[in-house]
Amino acid sequence: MKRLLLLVLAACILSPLAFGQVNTDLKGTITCWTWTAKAIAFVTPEFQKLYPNINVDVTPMSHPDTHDKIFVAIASGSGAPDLLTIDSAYIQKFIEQGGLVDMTDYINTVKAKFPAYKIANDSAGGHVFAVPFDCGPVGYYYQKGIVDKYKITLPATWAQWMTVGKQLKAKGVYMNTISVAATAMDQSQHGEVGQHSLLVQQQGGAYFDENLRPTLDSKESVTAMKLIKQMVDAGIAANVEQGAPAAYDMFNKGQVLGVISAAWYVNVLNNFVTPDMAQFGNWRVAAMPAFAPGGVRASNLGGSELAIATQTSDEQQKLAMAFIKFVCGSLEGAKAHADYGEFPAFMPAWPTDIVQNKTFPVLGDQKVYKLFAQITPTVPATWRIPPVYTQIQSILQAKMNSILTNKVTVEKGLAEAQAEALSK
Amino acid sequence: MGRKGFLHDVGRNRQAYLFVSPFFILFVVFGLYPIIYSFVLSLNEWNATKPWKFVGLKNYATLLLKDAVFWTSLYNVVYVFIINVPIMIFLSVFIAVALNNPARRHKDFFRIVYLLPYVTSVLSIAIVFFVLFDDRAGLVNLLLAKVGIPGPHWLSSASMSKISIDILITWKWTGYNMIIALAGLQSIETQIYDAARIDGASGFRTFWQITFPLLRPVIGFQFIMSTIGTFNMFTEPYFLTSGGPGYSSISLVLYLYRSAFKFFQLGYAASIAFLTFIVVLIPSVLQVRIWAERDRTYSAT
Repeated sequence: MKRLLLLVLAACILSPLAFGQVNTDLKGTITCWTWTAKAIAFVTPEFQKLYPNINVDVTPMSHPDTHDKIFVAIASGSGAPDLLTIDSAYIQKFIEQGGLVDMTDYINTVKAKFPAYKIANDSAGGHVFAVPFDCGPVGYYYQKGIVDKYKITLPATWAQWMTVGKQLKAKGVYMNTISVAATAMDQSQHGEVGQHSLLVQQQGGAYFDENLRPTLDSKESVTAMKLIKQMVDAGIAANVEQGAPAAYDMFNKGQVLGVISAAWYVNVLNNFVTPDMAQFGNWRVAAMPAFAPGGVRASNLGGSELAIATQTSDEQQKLAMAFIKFVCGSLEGAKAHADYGEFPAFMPAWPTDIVQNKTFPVLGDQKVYKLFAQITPTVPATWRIPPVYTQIQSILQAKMNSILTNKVTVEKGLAEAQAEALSK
Repeated sequence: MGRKGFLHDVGRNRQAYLFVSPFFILFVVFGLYPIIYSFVLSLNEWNATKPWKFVGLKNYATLLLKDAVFWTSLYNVVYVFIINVPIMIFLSVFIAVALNNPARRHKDFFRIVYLLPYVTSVLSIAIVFFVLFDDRAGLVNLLLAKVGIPGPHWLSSASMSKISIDILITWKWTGYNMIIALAGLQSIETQIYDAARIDGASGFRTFWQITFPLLRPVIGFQFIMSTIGTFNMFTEPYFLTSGGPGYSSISLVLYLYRSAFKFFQLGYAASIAFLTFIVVLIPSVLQVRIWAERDRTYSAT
């Protein structure tokens, strides 16, 4: 009996160590290029608790630069960093280009732990070439101070959004920002077309049909564009670019109620809202309005994947893989990732405290990730992202200015965009 | 004597050929080879990793017959050229003449000031202009508002985006053109001006009927360089307007860049490059003919 007790005691003492073994064999430095440099840097100390001899050297770059440089590095066969961060809109393009390490064996061990649509987005021909990093479930980020000040009810449908918007317009406050200029996304990430795409996905539509033929003139697309145009025409959307300093300035002055964006916007708020600002602690998130009462109040915008280039040496690949397995596929990694302000794609983390009870000072005491965890399963999984996705996206972005400035009607503009997309 | 004669000639002058060879070797490796490679690439489709797929003239056919963006970018570039270049060159000559006046004080200071934009990187200028031209908070619109003029949407409207690029280019390159004009002015003999003064010509007539015609070759050079520069512009639209709104300020080279690095269509991009070359060649050859025509009659030196 005593022996049994000793054995049980030993097992209890040793088990935590067995779970998170410190690995000192893997030594070296892995390089990484990413626009989410702060996320990787944030996660690294947690990673180093398990792998104290691996350093992570992160080079921050803008979102477009990261993808441009990865393209050139893979095309030229050298110069790629050990760890690649790739946006989910680009991953199929890079898979088609080739040069990414086949992750199928690893993914097969963890398949059930990631959303199916993310695995599908990272796959081609039955093989998986990247590991899902973060998801972009969409919500309406709003400033509670403005809601309280003007005693408004948050809209549950887009029709209510228009009504509330007109009420607030009379007080000099906008519902969100939509830049009519809709300049090209050479230097930015989502553009105004991002708002359109999330509205199309909300309705269960997509930019491509099952045969991956563009469907820019679909009825969901027309409805979404008409809604955006309605917001612009009614004057309830501030005419500034979403990420521009002018927009943050307007948020601070209480001139804009909020923004429809994804879970990763938390880290954007963390970056531009400092504790001395009035808006600090006053941001909240709500589900986005539905098209019809009781309809779907969820969509997706963005998300990213981690991958490794085939040109990386075998030793470096081992180190990079250790990092990917940690940050994407473990609870500790998911926790560090969530603490930074992005919604991890690792599903086992969702029912735990990591996601359910996570709060951020800038968002007051709201358990925002709990809300996003509720939203994510209801996101329509119809979105298709073939390799030409970014090209089609840029065609639509270019068309938006003509539509929003009345140079062409919504239907005609989308028909023209569709014709241009088909010719590619 | 044909080929044998040439080789014989090389052999005899082998030291001379050896001395000039470094330039030609570098030119062949870094100039000629890429040009030929690019032309062959334009006859293929390539995404940078898969093998080349020969498609003949398909890229050119698509560009010329089906690609509205190509024609828009060509139109944009011609528009920017027409609005900007004549004004800028005239301005540069005018300033050069003003600065050439021996009586003017602090000439060197002005010359440096006018040349500063030229030596500043286009990227820095574009970023500063981007902030200045902002609709809401930009200094330009704020100043216009003080005078009571509603500020136009410099960068966010399709009608003004090219004008904004024109302003940037004029601001940056007038100084450079002024220095060239100044050099040209120095080569005009002062005796001609003395003769004109004796004959009672006013400053205005002197400028139009003596200075300007004598500067013809210099102005011709400025026009040709500006043609090549404007038709090849990339940095200004990329950083100032991103080619937008819509396609209102996209240039040929920006479209080429996007096709290559954003859309991974390197063969297509190479064909845009060749068409750009032809597009630049035509006005440049025309300019040479226009400006050098009467060179024999009016010799400045």
